[in-house]
Amino acid sequence: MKASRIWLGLLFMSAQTCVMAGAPPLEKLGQPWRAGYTPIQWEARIDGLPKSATVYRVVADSFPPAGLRSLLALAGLTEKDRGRPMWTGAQPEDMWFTDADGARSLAVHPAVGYLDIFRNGVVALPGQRIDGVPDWPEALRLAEALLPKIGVDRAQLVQDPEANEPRYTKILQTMVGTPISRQVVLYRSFDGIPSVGLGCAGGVRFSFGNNGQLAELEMTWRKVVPQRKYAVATKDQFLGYLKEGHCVCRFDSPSTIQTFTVKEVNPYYLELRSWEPQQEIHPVAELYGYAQLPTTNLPISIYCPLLDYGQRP
Amino acid sequence: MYEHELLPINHNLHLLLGAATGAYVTANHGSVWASDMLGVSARGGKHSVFDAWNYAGTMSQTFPQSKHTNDGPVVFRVAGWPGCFADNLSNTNSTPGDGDPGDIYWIDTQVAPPPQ
Repeated sequence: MKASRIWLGLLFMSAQTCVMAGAPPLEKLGQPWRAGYTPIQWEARIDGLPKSATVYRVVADSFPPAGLRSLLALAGLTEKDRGRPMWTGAQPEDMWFTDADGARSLAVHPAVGYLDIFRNGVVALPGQRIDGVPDWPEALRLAEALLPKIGVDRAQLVQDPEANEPRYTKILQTMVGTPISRQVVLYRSFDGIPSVGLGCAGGVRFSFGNNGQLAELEMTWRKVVPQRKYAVATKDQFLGYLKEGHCVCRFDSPSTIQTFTVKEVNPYYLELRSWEPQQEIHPVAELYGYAQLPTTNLPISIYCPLLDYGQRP
Repeated sequence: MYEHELLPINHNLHLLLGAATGAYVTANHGSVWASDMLGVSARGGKHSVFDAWNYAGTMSQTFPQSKHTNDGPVVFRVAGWPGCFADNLSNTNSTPGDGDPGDIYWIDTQVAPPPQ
């Protein structure tokens, strides 16, 4: 009797492990959520969420997507500039090109879908002339024009439906208040669900300096194939994730939250940064709402799995 | 401080590296900064002290870019004498400044994006 109980216990534990196996690495997104204790009010609609979503498996082949020649041309380098990768943890398939004085370089890490093109001297430093730094619309136009050269289809990007253009993050660099470079970060989407954009992961960062020249291009864009499809969690399952603590919180002191009111549920894919190995890319849900603190209300985001890993559609 | 000529930058200091906003304490900032100057960071190549500082910022000050994110922006600021912004570990400007605070420059680099 005792032995069968132990076996049943082991089976139960193993089933639980299977359910959560391959779940998204939520710890990259915030602090552990205090499980169970916080009263939750639910005011969110989830009828706009997809019925199911796919977990993608990362494959290391065919990177860079546009081919090496196109990237070398963009960097102003040739095959003759190939050198030995010196970075920490360099893999046999990694590639490194630089010119004689190190002013231009191209680094490619196929296993993590990362590449970087760097062109020194394009962004003005003190004592140098600042000339023709593009404004934001021009920087976006320049970035979009480069997409075919790095093998990114515009349709793969997160779109801003109101502006009818890719959604982008603006990153400014100024010298004594005068812009010397403008950076545009574009994010990828998976089946219409945006990448959460942790750093430039799941996206491309373009930096433009004098006369709209490309100063740097950094891309983390893992090649993926569909792995498995699961049903999207229900409201009760999202509440279960909160209760059981399968969540993280974008707030340093979750223990001070007295109640949390969920106002929105937004889906994202979590692609990790270039130095973080990743075998699968999972969707996550952002539970956005208001935390009641002892003296005030605070808007916060809590991240949990988007999927019901026990339910195939 | 700048307007009152009270900058902690004398003519021997090359660059003062810091942030113009609040910044997050992260485990990897120092290692990325050092490795980028030494040429062993992911992007390869030996980068200037100034450029590596900002690169380490973009690698360490990262958070989700959801539509409701309330983190950031984080802006790194580097101030110093004009000839020192290209300093790297093996080649530094031997005569940093002329002692005239009016010649001091600063460059602000947004290393983490603002809410969208």
